[in-house]
Amino acid sequence: MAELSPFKRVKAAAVMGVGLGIDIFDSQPDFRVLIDKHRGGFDFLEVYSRGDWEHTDDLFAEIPDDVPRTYHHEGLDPVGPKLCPDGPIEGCAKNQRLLNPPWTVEELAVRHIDGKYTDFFFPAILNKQCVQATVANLKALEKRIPGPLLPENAPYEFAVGDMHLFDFMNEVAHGAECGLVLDLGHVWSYQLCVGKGDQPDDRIESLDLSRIIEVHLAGARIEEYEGGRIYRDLHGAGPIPEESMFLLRELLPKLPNLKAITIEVEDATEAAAVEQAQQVREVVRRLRPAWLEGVHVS
Amino acid sequence: MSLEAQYRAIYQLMYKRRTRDAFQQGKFRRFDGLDDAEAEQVCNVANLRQDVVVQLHANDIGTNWYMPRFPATWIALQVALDCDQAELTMRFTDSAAFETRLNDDSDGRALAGFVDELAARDEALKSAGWMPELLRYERMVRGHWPDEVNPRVEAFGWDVGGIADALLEKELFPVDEVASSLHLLLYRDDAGVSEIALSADQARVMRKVLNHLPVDDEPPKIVAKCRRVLNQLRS
Ligand SMILES: [Fe+2]
Repeated sequence: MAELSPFKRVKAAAVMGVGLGIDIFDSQPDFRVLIDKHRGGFDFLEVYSRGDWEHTDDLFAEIPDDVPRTYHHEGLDPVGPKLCPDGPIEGCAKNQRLLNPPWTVEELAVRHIDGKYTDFFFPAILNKQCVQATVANLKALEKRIPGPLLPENAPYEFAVGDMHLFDFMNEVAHGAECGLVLDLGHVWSYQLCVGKGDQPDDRIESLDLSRIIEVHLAGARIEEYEGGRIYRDLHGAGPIPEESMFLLRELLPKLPNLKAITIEVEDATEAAAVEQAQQVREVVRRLRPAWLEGVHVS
Repeated sequence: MSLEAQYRAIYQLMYKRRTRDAFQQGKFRRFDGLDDAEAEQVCNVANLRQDVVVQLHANDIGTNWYMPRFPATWIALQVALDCDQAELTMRFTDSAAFETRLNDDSDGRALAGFVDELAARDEALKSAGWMPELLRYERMVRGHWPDEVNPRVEAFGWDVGGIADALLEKELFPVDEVASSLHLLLYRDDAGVSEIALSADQARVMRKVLNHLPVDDEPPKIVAKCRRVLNQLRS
């Protein structure tokens, strides 16, 4: 029997519901406190390891089996000119073995250029060459990492290339036969780069929405300058921008294969984290109530 | 035609100020390895927006990488060079030393290279001859040691502890500081690095004790004190 494509595998996964993206190394929010004291506030955890895939074993072991989880890796640099070194690949496979997530999220960005670590996620250069390299990388990674990868649109502060982000994402998803994470704040960050900041959903109909398996929401800060605005991720340390919530309301009814909504809450207090989850859950209840049936917190 | 060259060009626009300035001033028209279409795509981003982004990231690098780890050195550099954090970072990222970093330079090796470069040629650092030793002290206190010898006696050519205190506690930039030696016993465990100040005599004896050398000719009081301090540290 032929192996199922990564897209078919994630499409077949169960709905996870509304979850919290937490960093396993953070003392705030502390995932143990979230699990012990706020288990009614989230359906699953999306677990990050801040690029430090080596020192996760003991911490991962503290997550009880009955807490559903996805995994967010860092360091595969899937949009780079060539495949990343063995370390991050082996680290990803190891952490999948420990967590057993239905999929693993990885940014469409590079964290290294010429082997040099950068201070932020350099988002994909938006052109055909980068599509080709990304598809080749994702296919090579698929052979070495057992669980399916779910690439996520990275934040843009300025965009390089002659393609639209949504065309780039479509071509990557179709070329690598994978699903996608759509980070709604990052969509807006891109729109701010291309002069469409006032229309966060500009050209959204051109995106193949059937590929969106997971949606991300996060707090952000907007930097204004005389020529425009720049989106800066704050994750849990700030409110979710209205533009991201607008995109959520717009898209919720249009995502046939949506399995998970993650609110990235690094640095938030536990109470603020579940409050943001509640804010999102209300929107889901109103616009797509059936989607939450059968998940942990209905 | 290469994607690699495009990322390299963007990297230079982000971190290499002299290269970016030269490009924006038209002193060269394309980065190595780019064809016409790629050169145009890169050219399109070298604008005001990208300048603002560079500033934001320069501040991020200072705030996230250096201020939490080597605060006294990071502050002292801004005072000595009479610049703000973003400007300091941009000078630093433009240097060859920045390229020697491992990951986010958590051990400060790239910053140390930058400080050494400055100390060797920059007039502004002449009145702060203690800067390289201050950074060596901050790196050691954070556990970045040149070898695994632990505990160890370390001698500094300046009173770097006092200098760090002045910068961080009193917000004073030491002027007219004179070279003097500071001897520290450093001990590293899971909780971090402990430091104990020693006199020159104590340092000499402590070295002997640590190296299991004869101490018969040393003052018994000092020998006893060294043994006591070591026992306390290790318990
Ligand atoms: Fe995200």
